Amino acid sequence: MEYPEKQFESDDPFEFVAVRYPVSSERNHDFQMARCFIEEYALMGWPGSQIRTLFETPLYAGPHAIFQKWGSKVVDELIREIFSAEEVADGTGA
Amino acid sequence: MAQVHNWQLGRDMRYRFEPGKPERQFAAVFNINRCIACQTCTMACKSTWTHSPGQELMWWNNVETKPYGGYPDHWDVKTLALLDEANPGGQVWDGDPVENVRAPYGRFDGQTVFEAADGLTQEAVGYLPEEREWKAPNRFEDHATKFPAAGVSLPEHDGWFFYLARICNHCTYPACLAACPRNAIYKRPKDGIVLVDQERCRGYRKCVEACPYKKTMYRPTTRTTEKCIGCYPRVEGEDPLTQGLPMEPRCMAACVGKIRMHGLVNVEADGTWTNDPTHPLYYLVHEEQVALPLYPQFGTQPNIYYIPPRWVPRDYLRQMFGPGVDQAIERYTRPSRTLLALLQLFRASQRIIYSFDVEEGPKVGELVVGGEVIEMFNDTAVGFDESGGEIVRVDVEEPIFERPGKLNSI
Repeated sequence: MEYPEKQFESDDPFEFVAVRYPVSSERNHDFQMARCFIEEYALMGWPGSQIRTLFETPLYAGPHAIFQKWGSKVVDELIREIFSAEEVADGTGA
Repeated sequence: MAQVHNWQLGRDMRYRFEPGKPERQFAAVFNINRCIACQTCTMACKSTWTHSPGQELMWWNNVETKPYGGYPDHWDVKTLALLDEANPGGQVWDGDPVENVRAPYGRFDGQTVFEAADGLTQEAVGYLPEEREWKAPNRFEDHATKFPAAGVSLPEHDGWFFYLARICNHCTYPACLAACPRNAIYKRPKDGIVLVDQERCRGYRKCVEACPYKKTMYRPTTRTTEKCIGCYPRVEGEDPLTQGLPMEPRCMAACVGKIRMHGLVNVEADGTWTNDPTHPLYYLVHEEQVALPLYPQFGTQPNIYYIPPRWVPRDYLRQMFGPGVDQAIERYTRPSRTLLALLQLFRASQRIIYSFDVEEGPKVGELVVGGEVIEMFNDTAVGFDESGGEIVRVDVEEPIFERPGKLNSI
């Protein structure tokens, strides 16, 4: 059975709806989220250089949005900070 | 009416039936920090169980975008509002998380869905969603629409969303079961899975009204209620793939983000979990206390646990997961050596893991997390089946395979 194809129209009931969820302005939530991205992968043994590619690649929408908004310098600084401790094996650092 | 112990609330509470003691309890831990809302779990369930006429609006598994999305629309906010209306300002916790299997999150001093009900017209406080509220598994988020010619303007979030994957919680004290006037809903003695007897069900929808998680759903073509069956044929080992050995449900086994760990836990007569730190779920829920029940204040003692998302405002998370949130995030962010290894066992095998062990490996680095240095070891997590046979082993350091760009056919 074939169904007729109908395009969405502006008065369809599926309208865009959104509300703002209030969050504290005292901290930068983009930076906090970037740390989460980096630390999640770092704790699985990913090297910093590999994690950086997540931010560079548009296919990873979340990290890439941060990369675009704040630039590579900020991302590199965060990665460097998380990997700043002494490394004892190859391939785990930035 | 019976008095039962609800360890998630740290106290006894009123329930319609005396507690049953299943041989084991169906349970799972979902790590929200790693969910990307790909909906693979949703489609794995849909294509297995709810693809027939009359089931079009049924999503036994769904992933909703929080804080705004939901299936059915605003299910949690509506139930919270009903409880607040019944007990204004009284839905509060007393105490802090402690290592006590009978009261790990302190004591809840408010009213459960059972205690807020009058016990005559309702066994549990709830509401019956309208049909339109079931129409999208994540309504207002992630669904197709058309931009008006003039464009749209929406408020922009300062914070980041998170995704909440949900199935039936196969509660220890199910509200659906308590509400059924036909006693058509039962909890299986062998694994605690909650099922609807389709022969007895007459479609009164009292269960739909009572379930605070809204995971019982009416099917108009059969005039009965249906719900997640915990993929019990797989849990029983009837899937030929594992030759009689218990398997995880479809939604768990399909998870590409590896956010899910499923299992069967041993329980005591009072509903608490049997002390067994070698069981991966016991370790996550009771030893490390990184996994928390969803809306424990509802009082049904749900058996799906969540590692809360670390970036989300804490007041929102405390309402959703109770007072254990801060400790859970602290321990998840700076994981112990055992926890870090165990996290790698998530979705490492389709077979149900009954116990685990960690074999120590070399130190491979140090990270600075939250201003503190943590050591990383390439330990190996090993999962075992019911008889102690090895199922799977994975290292902390994930192997990385990079596909050359020129071979990419996309």
